[in-house]
Amino acid sequence: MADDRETRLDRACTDFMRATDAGRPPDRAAWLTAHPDLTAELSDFLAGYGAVEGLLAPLRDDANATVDRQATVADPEMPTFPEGYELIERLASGGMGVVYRARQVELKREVALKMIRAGVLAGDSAVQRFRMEAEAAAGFKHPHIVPVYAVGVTASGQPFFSMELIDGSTLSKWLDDGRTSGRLCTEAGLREAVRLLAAVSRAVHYAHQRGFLHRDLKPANVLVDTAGVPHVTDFGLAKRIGDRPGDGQLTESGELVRTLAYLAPEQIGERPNDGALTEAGGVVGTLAYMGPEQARGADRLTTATDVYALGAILFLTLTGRPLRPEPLRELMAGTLGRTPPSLRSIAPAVDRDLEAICLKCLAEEPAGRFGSAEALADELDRWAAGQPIRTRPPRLARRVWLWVRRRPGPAALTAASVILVAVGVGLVTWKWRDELAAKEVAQDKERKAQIEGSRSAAVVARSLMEPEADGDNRELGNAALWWVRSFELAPVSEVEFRATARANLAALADRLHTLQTVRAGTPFPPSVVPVGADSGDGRTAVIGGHSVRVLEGGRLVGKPLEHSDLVRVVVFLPDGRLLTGGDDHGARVWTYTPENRWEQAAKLDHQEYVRAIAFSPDGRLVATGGADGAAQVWDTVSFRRVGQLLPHTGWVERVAFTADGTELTTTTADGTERVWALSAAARYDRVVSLKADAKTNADVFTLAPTPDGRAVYAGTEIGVYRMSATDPANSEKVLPVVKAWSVAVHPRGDWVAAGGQAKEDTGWYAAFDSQGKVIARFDNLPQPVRAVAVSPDGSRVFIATATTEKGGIWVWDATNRGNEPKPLEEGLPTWGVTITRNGRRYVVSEGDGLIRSWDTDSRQPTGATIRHPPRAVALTAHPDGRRIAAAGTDGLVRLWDTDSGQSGTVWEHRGAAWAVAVSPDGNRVVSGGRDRCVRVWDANSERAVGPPLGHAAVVWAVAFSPDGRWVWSGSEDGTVRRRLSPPTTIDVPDDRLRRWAERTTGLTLDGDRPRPHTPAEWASR
Amino acid sequence: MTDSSDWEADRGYLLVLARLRLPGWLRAKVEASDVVQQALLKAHARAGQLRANTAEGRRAWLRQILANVIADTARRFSADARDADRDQAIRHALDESSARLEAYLAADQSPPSERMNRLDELLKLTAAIARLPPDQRTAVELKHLEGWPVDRIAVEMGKSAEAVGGLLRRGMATLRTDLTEGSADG
Repeated sequence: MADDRETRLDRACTDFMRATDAGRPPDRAAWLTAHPDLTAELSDFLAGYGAVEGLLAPLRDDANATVDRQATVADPEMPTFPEGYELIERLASGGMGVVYRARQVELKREVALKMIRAGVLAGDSAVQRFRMEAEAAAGFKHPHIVPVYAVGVTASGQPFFSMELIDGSTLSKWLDDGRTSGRLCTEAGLREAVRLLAAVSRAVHYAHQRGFLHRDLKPANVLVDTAGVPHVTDFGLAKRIGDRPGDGQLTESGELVRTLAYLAPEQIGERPNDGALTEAGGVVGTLAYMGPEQARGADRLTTATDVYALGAILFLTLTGRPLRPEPLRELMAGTLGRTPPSLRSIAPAVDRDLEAICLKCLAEEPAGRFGSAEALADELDRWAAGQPIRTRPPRLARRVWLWVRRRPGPAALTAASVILVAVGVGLVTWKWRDELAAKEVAQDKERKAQIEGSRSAAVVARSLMEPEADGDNRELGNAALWWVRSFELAPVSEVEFRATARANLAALADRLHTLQTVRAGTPFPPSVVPVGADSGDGRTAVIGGHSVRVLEGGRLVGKPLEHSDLVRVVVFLPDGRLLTGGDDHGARVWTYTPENRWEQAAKLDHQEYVRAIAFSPDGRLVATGGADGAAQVWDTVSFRRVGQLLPHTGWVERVAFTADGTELTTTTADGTERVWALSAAARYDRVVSLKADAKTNADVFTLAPTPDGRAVYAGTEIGVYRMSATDPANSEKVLPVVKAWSVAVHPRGDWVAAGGQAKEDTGWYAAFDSQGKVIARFDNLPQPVRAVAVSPDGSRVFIATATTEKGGIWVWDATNRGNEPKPLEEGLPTWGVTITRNGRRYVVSEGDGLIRSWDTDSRQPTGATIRHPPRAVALTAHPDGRRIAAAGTDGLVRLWDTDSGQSGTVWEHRGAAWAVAVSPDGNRVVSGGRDRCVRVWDANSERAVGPPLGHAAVVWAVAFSPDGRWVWSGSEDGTVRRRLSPPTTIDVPDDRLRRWAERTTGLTLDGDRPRPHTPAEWASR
Repeated sequence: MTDSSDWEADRGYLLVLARLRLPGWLRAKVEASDVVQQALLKAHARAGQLRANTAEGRRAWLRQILANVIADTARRFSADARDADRDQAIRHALDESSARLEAYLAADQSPPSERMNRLDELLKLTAAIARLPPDQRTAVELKHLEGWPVDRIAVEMGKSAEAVGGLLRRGMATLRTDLTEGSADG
C-alpha cells in the first residue's frame, strides 16, 4: 500500500524530529532498525536533515556554541574540564570537538587539550576503542607527528586527550599566507612547501608502518610551527569515527566541507541514489546506516587512501584551490571523487613534474597511486632537490601536452587548445577504462566513449569557468557551450553527467546576467567565441591554436590552415570558402583546391586582433571587426574594401548584417551597438543610462514608443522621460512625478497618458500633449495606478489601480479632459488592463489570478473568464484583435484567446515575468522579468528567438518599436536599452557546436596532428 | 578600488543574510536575490561614499544599504507608509544575523578561502530552500532557519505534526534533487 507507506514514513520522520526537538535524539540505528522496509528513504532523510541542520543551526538565534569564540567558560555541551587542567583559551573547534589551550597544573606546562564532543562517541565500547587507539597513537615518536601526552575520560564521561601545544598555525593558514605574501609563487618558496609536504608524507608513512591509517588528512590537521616544521595531528581518531555506527551529531558544516574535500574516492560510496550511504554521509551523522556493501567498501581503505589525501593537499598547494570546491553539490550529485581536474587549466604555470606527482596521488583506483607515502615523500624530495623525478605522465597525454606547448606557448591556452588538454585527461582515464572495456560487450564501448567525450567536454567547460588573473572572465559563454556539448554527448542513462552539466548551465546562466554586469557598469552579456564553424554541407572547421583544421564527416581533410598567431574566429562562406580571423592582425580567406588543399586567397588587414566576421545574406559582402576599433566591409569577389573604414571607440566584438543586407550592426566591447547603413554610414547609439543624469538609481518601470517611431516615453521612479529613438541618450524629463508605473501613447501620438503611485499609497493619473504640456492631472486616486490603456479610437483611457487588498478600474474621458476619472468597477485589486485592438473589449487582470473581459460600451462581462494564477501583472493586446498576451508572477507568459479562454503557447521565465509586448505583425512576443532577461519568442511556436538579452537587474518594461525592428527594455538597473529584434542576428554557435559534438568524441595524435574520432571509431580503438 | 571578486563575495554574503533575515511575510513576495541585487547596485553607485577601508567596515556599510533596501521593499508591499519600529527591527535582525554569520565563518581560525567555501555552501542551500514548493518551503524555513519544534510548526501551519513531518521529509528529498540537478529544467 503506497499510501500506507508514505504515512508510515511521515510518522517515522515526525517521531525522529520530535525526539530531537525535545533534546533526546533517538538512537539512529535502533530507529532505523524499527522500520526495516523504510531504511532507504529514512536514511536519505537523515542525510539531508543532518546536512541542512549542520549548515543552518549555528546561524540561528538559539545557536551559540560556535558563535562564542571568546568563551572563557566551557561550552554547555562540555560541562566539565578534566581534573588537573586549567583552561586558558579556546583555540579551535571542529566536528569532533573543541581544542583548548590549557595548563597542566602538575607539570606546569601548557598543552593543547582536545575535548571530544558529547555524542561523537556513542556507547562505552566506542569510548573504549577510542582510548585504545589514542593510547597507541600516543606511542608515536616522530618529529612530524604531534605527540599525544595523555588520553582520558572526564568525570562526566567525556573523552579527551592532551597533546603538545604547537606554536604556529594550521597548514591551511600557512598556505594561504604563503599565497598572499607571494612566497609560494617563488621557486624557493615552492621548494620549501614541497619539502614540508614530503615531511608530512614521511610522518604518515611512519604511522602506516605501525598499522595506522590517518583517514582524515587535511590541511587543518597539519600544524606548522614558527620554524616552518610540520606536525601531523589527530592520528587514530578518524578511524574510530569511521567505524562507529550509531553516532550522534557530527554536523558542523565547516568540518563537513573540509573533510569531504580530502576524501579519496574509495571512501565515498559508489551509488548515491540507492539509499545506501556513503562514508561522507557518515560524517554528517548517517554512517550508522551503512549497508553491508558499504561496510565491505570500508575494507578497501588502505594506505593509498592517505596517499590520495596527501595528493589533495598537494593540489591545494600547487593551485591555491581546494580539489573539490563544491563538495556538497558533488556529494548530492554522486560525483564526489571523480575526474581529477587538470591542474594547468586552473594554474597554467604549475610545474609539469609536480602536476604528474599530484595526479598520480589522485588516481581514482588506489592501485594507480604511489605504493606508499614514503615513495611519495622520496619523489617530492627529489623534485625539491632539483633531481629528475620518476613519475611520468601517461605517454599519450604527454604527447598532447608537447603538441600544445609547441604552438601557442603554455601561458596562452585558448579555448581551442584546451580541447586538446581535455582530451589528454580523457586519455589518462581511458587507459584504465580500456582494460575494463576488454571484458565488456561491444555496444557498451560506444557508450563509454560517449561518456569520455562528455567528460572531456566537462573538463574544458570547467577550465573556461575559472577566472583569469585579473578576475575577469570572458569565457563564460564558451563554457556554457561546452556544458551543452557535455550534456549532448552523455548517454541518457548517465543521469549524473547530465545533471552536472545542467546544474552548471543553470549556474552559468545566473552569472552571465548578474555578477558580471554589476562589476562592469555597462552591463552586457559576454560575447561568445565560436570554436568552430559548420559549412552546412557536411564540413566543419575547428580552431586549434595557430591552425584551423577542416573535418568532413568527422574526418580531417586537407592540411592545416596555418597562421602566425592564435585563430579566434572561423566562418564558412555560402560557396564553401573559409574565412578565419585572429591575433595575426587580420582575416584570411581560404579556398579549397581540387588538389585537396586549402590555399590562402586573400588577407584582409586590420591593425589589431580580429574577433568578428560575418557575411551578408547574399554572400556578396563580408564584414570584419577588430580590436583596432575598426569594422570593414569587403566584397567577396576581389576582397577589396567597400567604402571607408568604420571607426569605433573600443574593440569590435560582433558584426552582423540585417536580413535584407542593407545595414550592418556592430557591437563593441562596452556593449554599444551601432547601425551602419552601408551607403551613408549613419550612426546610432544604443544605450542610455538614466542614472547618470538623474543622479539616482531610477528604476525604469514602463516604456511606450510613439506611433511614428521617433520617440519613446519611459516611466521611471522619478518621472516620465521622452527620449529620441535614434539617440536615446538625448532625453528630457517631461513629467516630474514619482513612481510612474504605466505610460500609454494616443494611437496617433496626440497625447500621452501616465499613472503611478503618489504618497501614502494613493494613485496619480496625468495626461500631457506631445509638447509635454499637462492637459489633465489627478493626484487623489484611492490606490496606486498600475496600468493605463488608451482605446484604439483615442476616446478613453482605462486605468487599473491596486494595492494588495483593493483596487478597481477607472475610465477617463479624453473628449472631456477636465473631468476626473470615473470608477467602473471597485473592489478587487487590478494589476493590468488592455483593450483588444478591435476596441470592443477591455481586459482586466485581477488580484486573484483571473483575467476578465468587459464590453467597452455596455460595460457588461463578455467573452471567457481566464485563469492565470497566481497573478497576471502585465497585459497587452495582440494585433489580431482577439487575443491578449499576459505575463505572470509565476514566470509564465501566455497568449490567451479572450473569446474561448484558451491559452496557446506558454513561455517561461525563471522567476516572475513582469512585462510583455507583442510585435506589430503579431509574430513575436517579448517579455522581461526577474531573471534579468529580455526574452523574445516566436508567437506561433514554443521557440525562443535568439539568445536572451541581459540587464543588470530585474526587467520591468519591454516594448517593440512600431516597425518591429527594435526591442526596447527598461530595468531596475536604471537603463533603457534598444536592441535589434533577434531574427536578424546570424550567429548560432551552440548549434554549430552541437553538430560538431555529434560527430567528434576525441582526438588522437597522428604524427604531430590531432585526428578526430566519431564515437564509434573511438570505441573500436 | 574593488575588483569583481569583492563584489562577488559581497553578493554571497548579502544573499545569505537576506535569505536568513528577510521577514517571513516578505519572503513570499520578493526574492532575496533581487533585494541583494538592488543593494549591490546602490552600493556600486555609491562606492565613493565608502569611508571604511577594512573588510568589517565595508560589510557594515553594505549591511546598512541592504537593511535600507529591505525596509524600502517592505514599505512597498505594506499598507503602512512608514513604520520606524519595523525599520529598526529589520536593521537589528540583520546586525544580529550578521554577527552570527561572521563568527560562524571565522570559526576555527580558518583562512579566507575556506570561509568562502562555507559561504558558498550556505548560498547554495538557502537558494535551494527558496525554490521549494510553498508548503515545503515554509516548513523547512521554520524548522531549519527559525529552529522551531515540529509541533509549533504544526500549529502555525494549521496542520497535523505528521503532515509537517511529511512536508519536511519531502522538502529534504526536493532539496537533494535540486542540489543534485540544479534548476536548468526550470
